[in-house]
Amino acid sequence: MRFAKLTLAFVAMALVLTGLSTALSRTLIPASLDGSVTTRRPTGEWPNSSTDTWYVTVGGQTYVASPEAADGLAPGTYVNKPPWSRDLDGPGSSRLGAGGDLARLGGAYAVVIAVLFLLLWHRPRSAETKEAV
Amino acid sequence: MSSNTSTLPPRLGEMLPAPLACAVTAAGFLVFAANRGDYAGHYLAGFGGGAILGSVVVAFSKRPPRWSVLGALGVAIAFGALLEATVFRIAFFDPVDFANQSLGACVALAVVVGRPPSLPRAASLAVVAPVALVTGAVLALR
Repeated sequence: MRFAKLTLAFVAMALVLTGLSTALSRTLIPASLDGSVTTRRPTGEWPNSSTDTWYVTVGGQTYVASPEAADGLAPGTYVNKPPWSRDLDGPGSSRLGAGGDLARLGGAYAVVIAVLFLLLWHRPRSAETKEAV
Repeated sequence: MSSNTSTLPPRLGEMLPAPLACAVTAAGFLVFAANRGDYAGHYLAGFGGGAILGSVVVAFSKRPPRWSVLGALGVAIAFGALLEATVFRIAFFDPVDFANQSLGACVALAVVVGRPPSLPRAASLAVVAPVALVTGAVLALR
């Protein structure tokens, strides 16, 4: 019985984590990250080197983007991916929006939950384990 | 009820769960979210961190560990949150990455919960941990 409680605690933890990730992916991230590239340097200049720091304003907030992420973005480029994403590729792209990546992530979570159940339920029942449980 | 590894030699049965769980779940991420290697990367990094703590718990336990594993899971999640908020904070604290890495730690520590402590089990976790951490770093930072 005590082990059942522990099993429930682990499964609940995993479900909370997957639920948290799914809910945040579906709501907060796509909703808050639409915007456009507005500035690259505090001075207003646009860098011509991939080693410069890039500043990207998305959803009303300014982020520092990695040169790799921002490389190739023109001023005013519309993005709805987070600026730290490695594959910013312009209009129409999305990180987890529209259910595409979200559904795939759900598949991965299903595998994880299945393995978690197997690990917790298929334990060796030695005399020591029975005594402890 | 016997375990599904009960027909294997005892030591092999103790050593297999960690690498199998790691490989199968990581494959799930790589297959279903093939376009987002960083998801698998964060998951594997969390698994590696959890495996380190799991090997420590197994090494210092005299009986099958139960609630101490849950405590270790809390430590793993908290440490992962700290890293995500500081060293790996690229623009912002990414809650999806945090959830994925915490899930990795959860599965890694589920390998040891309620199972008799043994050297082969601790050793398998200690071997899987760096492999998962390095693979996770490569995938997450690629």
